[in-house]
Amino acid sequence: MLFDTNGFINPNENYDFAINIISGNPNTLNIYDKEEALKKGNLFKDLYDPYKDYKPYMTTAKNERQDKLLDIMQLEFVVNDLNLYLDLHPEDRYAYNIFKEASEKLKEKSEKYSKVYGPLELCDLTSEYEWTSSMFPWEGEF
Amino acid sequence: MFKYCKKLPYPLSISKKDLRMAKFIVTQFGGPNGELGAALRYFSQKFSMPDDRGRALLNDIATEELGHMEMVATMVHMLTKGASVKEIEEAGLSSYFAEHGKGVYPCDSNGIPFNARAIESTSDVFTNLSEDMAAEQKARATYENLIDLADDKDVIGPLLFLRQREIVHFNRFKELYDLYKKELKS
Repeated sequence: MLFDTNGFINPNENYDFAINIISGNPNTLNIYDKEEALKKGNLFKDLYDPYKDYKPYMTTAKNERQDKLLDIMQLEFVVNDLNLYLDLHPEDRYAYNIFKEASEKLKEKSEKYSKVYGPLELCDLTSEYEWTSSMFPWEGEF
Repeated sequence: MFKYCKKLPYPLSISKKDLRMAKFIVTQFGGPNGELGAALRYFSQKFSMPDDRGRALLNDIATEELGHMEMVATMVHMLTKGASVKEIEEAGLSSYFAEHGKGVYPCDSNGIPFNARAIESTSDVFTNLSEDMAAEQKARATYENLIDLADDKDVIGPLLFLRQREIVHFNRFKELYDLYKKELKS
């Protein structure tokens, strides 16, 4: 649980708790943790719809850079899928808190990543201009 | 405005050249049910949405679709990397090669260029949202056909991800459609 029963955030935990997508009720809202969510392409357990008997398959990180980037991708996915939910339920404070937490982590981890491996966005500053030399995502493995 | 971010929405690791699959998958780049059309459709329709929820949802799904478009185009690029002219001919891609060489071009599996006639954008919110729900279903069905044709897990995995996004988007559009049906007199 990211939140304990009093609604306080436990920052060391993954996001494996539930929200009811229809009512926005914090006690029933069903969400996958970030690893599972990206792998499945769906944060919301109630919306997940598998195809035939195919199991979700996602490549694994083969080095430290990929490991860090995968973590960023997972956070970005949580932020993105909550973004679409919140567009229709802006009053859901519970979902917003998770969104906020994931966004803060995403920002922090992206900044750390950029310092070592080059900018993800143009304004991620490094010691020199590395926008052209850091890898574009369609070259090589992610 | 838009800002570019140097990462894909989902990790790709395709090392096996597969021109046959590239020929099929390219349709989700520039075909009638593809990601370019999806992005353009929602991007254009967002100007006709009647409230903040609609404007936000259409804008944000359009943005996500641009990321998917890059992901699909990247898959085509990776699947065709290092192909010889002979291999291109054998895969039935000679007419594509004649026009585009080994470039990544927005067309369907038969090489028909992207056409905005595959999308609609009107000022009628129910027309737009009905079209959006149908579009998500068409894209889901197309991804299922592609998954049926594929045999490499590094290709099937990303296709399953993209298919699942269609399901989430369909549900969001339906939710908005139902909200408007209840709230707006049509």
